[in-house]
Amino acid sequence: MDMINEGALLEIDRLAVEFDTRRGVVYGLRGATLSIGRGETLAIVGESGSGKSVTAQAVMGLIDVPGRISGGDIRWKGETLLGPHGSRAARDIRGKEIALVFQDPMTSLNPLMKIGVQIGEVLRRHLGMSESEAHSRVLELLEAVGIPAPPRRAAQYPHELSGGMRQRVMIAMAIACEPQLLIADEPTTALDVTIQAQVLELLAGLQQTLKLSVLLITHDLGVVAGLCHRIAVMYAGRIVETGLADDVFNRPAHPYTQGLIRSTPRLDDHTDRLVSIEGAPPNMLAPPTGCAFRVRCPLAEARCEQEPPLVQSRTGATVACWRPDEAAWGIPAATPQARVKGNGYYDQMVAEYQPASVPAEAAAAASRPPVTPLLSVRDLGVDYEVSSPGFWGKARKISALKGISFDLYPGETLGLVGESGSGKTTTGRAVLRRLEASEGRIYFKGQDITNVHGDELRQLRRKMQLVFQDPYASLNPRMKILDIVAEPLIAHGVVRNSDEAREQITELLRLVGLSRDATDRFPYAFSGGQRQRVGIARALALKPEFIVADEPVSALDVSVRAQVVNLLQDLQKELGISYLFIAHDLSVVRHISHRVAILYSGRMVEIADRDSLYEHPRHPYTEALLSAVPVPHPETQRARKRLVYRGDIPDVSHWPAGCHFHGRCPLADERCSLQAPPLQGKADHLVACWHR
Amino acid sequence: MAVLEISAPITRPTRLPPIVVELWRDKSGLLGLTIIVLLLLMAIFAPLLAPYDPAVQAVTTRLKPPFWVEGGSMAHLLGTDQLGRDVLSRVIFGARASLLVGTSVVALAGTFGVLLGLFAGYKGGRTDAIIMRLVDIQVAFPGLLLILLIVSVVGPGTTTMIVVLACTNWMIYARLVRGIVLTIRQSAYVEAAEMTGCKPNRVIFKHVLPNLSSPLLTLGILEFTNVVLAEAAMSFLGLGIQPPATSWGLDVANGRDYIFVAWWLITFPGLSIAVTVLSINLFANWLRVTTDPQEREKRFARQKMAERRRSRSPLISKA
Repeated sequence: MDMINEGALLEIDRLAVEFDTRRGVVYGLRGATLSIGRGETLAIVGESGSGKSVTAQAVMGLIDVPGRISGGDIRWKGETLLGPHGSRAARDIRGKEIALVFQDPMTSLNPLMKIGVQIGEVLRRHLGMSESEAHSRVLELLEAVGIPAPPRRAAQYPHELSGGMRQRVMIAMAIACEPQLLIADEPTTALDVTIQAQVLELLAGLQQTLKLSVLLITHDLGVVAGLCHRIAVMYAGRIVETGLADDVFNRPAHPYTQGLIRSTPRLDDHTDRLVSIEGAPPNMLAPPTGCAFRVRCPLAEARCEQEPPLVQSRTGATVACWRPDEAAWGIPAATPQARVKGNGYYDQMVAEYQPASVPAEAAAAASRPPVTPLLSVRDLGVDYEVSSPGFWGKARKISALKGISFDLYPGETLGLVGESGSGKTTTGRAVLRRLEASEGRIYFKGQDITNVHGDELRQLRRKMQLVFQDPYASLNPRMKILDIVAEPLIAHGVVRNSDEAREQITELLRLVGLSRDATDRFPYAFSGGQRQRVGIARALALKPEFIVADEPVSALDVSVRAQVVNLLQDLQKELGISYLFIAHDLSVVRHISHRVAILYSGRMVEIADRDSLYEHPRHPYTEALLSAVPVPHPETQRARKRLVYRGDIPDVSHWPAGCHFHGRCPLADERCSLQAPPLQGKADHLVACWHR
Repeated sequence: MAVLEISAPITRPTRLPPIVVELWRDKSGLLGLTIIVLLLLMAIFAPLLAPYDPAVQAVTTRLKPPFWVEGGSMAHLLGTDQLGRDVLSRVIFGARASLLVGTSVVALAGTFGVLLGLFAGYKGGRTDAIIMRLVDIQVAFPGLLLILLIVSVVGPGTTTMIVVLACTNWMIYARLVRGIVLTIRQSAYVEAAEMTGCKPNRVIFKHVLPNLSSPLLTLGILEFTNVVLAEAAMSFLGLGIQPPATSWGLDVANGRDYIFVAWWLITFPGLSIAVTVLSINLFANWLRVTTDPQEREKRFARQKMAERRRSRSPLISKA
C-alpha cells in the first residue's frame, strides 16, 4: 500500500500504542498502517486483543491513561492529528468530520437526557444551530435512521427504547454533523440477529446516500461480507493482510486469514468439523518476535522469526508473510488427537459411560431411536417475579416461558435457538431445576423431577450439569483451577479435599486439552478459550449424562470457538453425553446439533431435525432468522434473499395476544392476533403457525 | 474492547514483594502505614517507653509546660497536668485504650454485621426483609441515647464501651455486605457452585465471602477511625474509660477546664487522635486503590508517565 495516498481521507501510518501495566508494557498496536479513501467502506477484522478497537480509539483521540501513542502518525486529509499542533486541529475534526458509533448503545447514551435533546446538543455545539433549527433537524435525522414516529421518540429517554432503536439513535447522532468518516466499533455485536440485519442495512444505505466513508471494526466475518469494499485483517497489533473483500474471502493469502475464514461456522455448509487454530491469541506483554502468528501457524519455519516482508498476493492484496498464498490448513482431523494414556481414570470414565447410554452414532442414525428419552419436557412454563413480595404481600408475576415441550435422547444434541428474551436460557435453567417451573412437567430418565427438592435434587445434580456462557465470570477468581474443578467432587462427598482428587483432576484437564501444570494456577492466567475448557472439565467431573451448554462459545474468539465446539463434539462421541445446546448463533448450532428448536418470545415456534429445519424452514420467524444470519462469503451474501422484518422483539412484560410473532409477520391475519397456534406437524418437524 | 482486556486483570491473588514496591512508591500511603505501626508499637511497649506511671500524681509539679516553653523542664517533655501527671506518659498509655477499643469494636461489629449481611443477601426473601428492617431500626435509633441507656444500667468501663460501640456500628457492615452479596449472588461462579450441588453454607463461606475481602478491609479500616473518635467522645462525656485508666479522649475531657491556662493538656492527646485518624485514612486510601484492579493500573501508568517526563527521554521508546 502506498504511504502517501493522495485520495486517502484517513491514513494511519505505522501507529504504535503502548499500555503501561504493572506486569510490563502491553503492546496494543505495533506499527499498524492503513488508509481509507473517500466513500470507501473498510473493515478491520480481528480477535480480542488484536488492536482493532485501539486503532479506532487512537483516531478518535480516546487513548487515555494507561495507554499512550508511542510512535507513528495519524493523518486526516494529509494533516497530522497528533502532537500539540495536531491535537488542536483534531478537536475540530473529531465529532464533526469523523464520527464514532460504539458497541454498546446503552452505556453511550446519557440515561437522563431525552433522545431529541441529546442529538440536538451535538447540532448546537458543532454547527451552532438554534434550538428550533436543531429540533427539526433531529426529526429529520431520526427519520433518516428509520425510527418510526420521530416526534414521539425524540421525547423519550434511552431506557424506553430497545437495543436496536438505541443503536439507530447513536447512528443518528453520529451522522448529525454530516461527517465524512464514520467509525463503527462492533456496531451490531450487542444486537440480536434480526435486529443486526436491520442496522447493517441502515449502515449500507447511509453510506450510499451520504457518500460516507465507513471504518467498520468487527470480529464477525459474516458482518463484513456483504458490506465492505476492503478488508484489513489484524493480528497482534499489526495488519497482516489488506485487500478487496472478495479477494480476501475467496483467496486469503495469510495463513491467519485462511484459518479465520475456515474456522467460522457457515450457515450454508455443515462440514462436521471446523478448522481450529490451535493455541491462544498472543500475550501482548511479550509478543513473539518476527511474525507474531508463527507460534500457531502450520507453515511456520525458521525465517518466520524475522520480520515478514509486505508482499503482494496473487489477488493483489498486501500481505505480511514469508509464505503467502500457500494453503495452511488441510482437511481437519476427524478424530481427536491421540491422548497420552494416564492413570486409567479416563478409560474408566469412558467405560462407565457406555452402559448407561446408547452410542452417539446409533442415536444420530435412527432419527427416532426406540429408546426412552433421557429428558422429556412437557408444557413447561416459567413465571418471573417482577416485584419483590414485600413483607406480607404477594409478588407480581409475568410469564417468561409457556408451553415448551421436547424430548432429548441419549447421546443427542438438541440446539435451542432464540434471540434475547426468547426464554432459551430460562428453559435451560428450568430443566436443570435451577428455576421453578410454574406449570408443566420435566422427566429425567422417566422419573418426574419437577418437584424434587433438597438432597434428592442434589443427587440429581450429579447427572445434569451446566456449562456457562461467560468463561470469565463463571470461575471464582480466588480459587485455583484444581479447587475449581474439584468443587463438585467435594460438594458431593466423593473426595474430602482437592488434593485427594488431584489425579482425577489432572485426567479431566487432559480430557479437555489442558496440561498438568494448569492445576495450581489461578483463572486470570488463562485465556478465554482455556477458561471455557476449565468450565467444561468442571461440568464433567461428576460424570453427568446430560449437559446444558448455555451459549458456551459466544464469548469466545472465532478461532478459539472452533476449538471448543470440536471439543464438545469429541466428548459426546466418546462419552455419549447429551447436550442441550443453547445459542443465538444459528451457524454454530448447525454444526453441533442433531435437532434444533427455535424459540421466540417464550414460545417454541419450530422444532425439527437439523437439516430439515435449515433446508426447509416452515415458520416465518425461522425464515427471517435464517436469512438474517450473515454468511461469511461476499458473493453468497449478496445473492441471498434477505427477509428483514420491521419491528422489535416484544418485551416480556407486554406480550401480545395470539401468536407472539404476528406483529412482525407478513402472513399475519386476524386469527393470529387472537389465538396462539399450537405446535403441530409431522413427527420430526413441528411448527407453531396457522399458515404453515 | 481490547484496552480493557489488556489492562484490567481479574483481581489477582496478592503476592508480597510487588505490594511492598507499590507501597514504597506511594509516599502518603507509606507514611500512613508507618505511623500506624509506630502507634501500635507504642501501645504494646507503653510500660517500657513511658518515663512515668501515668496515674501517679505529684502536687509539687502541677501544670508544668512542655520543655521548650519557658518554665518547662526536660523531666517532663510534654509537661504535666493539673494533678502533676506526666502528659507524655499519659499520651503513650492512652494509645492503648484507643487502639484496643478500636480493634475490638471493628472486629466485633464487623463479624456480627458481615454475618447478618451475608445471610440477608444470600437467603433473600423474608430473612432479608427481617434483617434489613432490624438494621433500619438500629440506624434510626439515636446512638447516644442507646449508649446512655446501656451505660447507666451496666455502668461505664472499657468492656461496656466496646459492647456499646459494637451495638451502634454493625449496621454499616450488614448493609455493605448485603449489597455486594446481591451482586455476587448473580455471578456465574456462584451459580456454578450451586449447580454442582454445594450446600448454602459452603457457597457463602467458600465462594461469596472471599470475594468480599477487599471492600471489607477498606471499610474496616475506615470504621476504625470512627471508633477511635467515638471512644474519645464517650470518654470525654464520662461514659467511657474511667480514671485511673487513661485514654486520649478522657485527657481531652479533663483538660478542657484548663484550656486557657495550660493549652498542652488537650493539645497533645487531641493531636494524637488527629494523627491516628489521618494516617489511617492515608493508608486506607492507598488500600482502596490497590484493591481495585482498574484504579491500580491507572495509578501505575500515571507513575510511569511521571517517571518518563522526569527522565526527559522524548520519544525514544518505540515499539
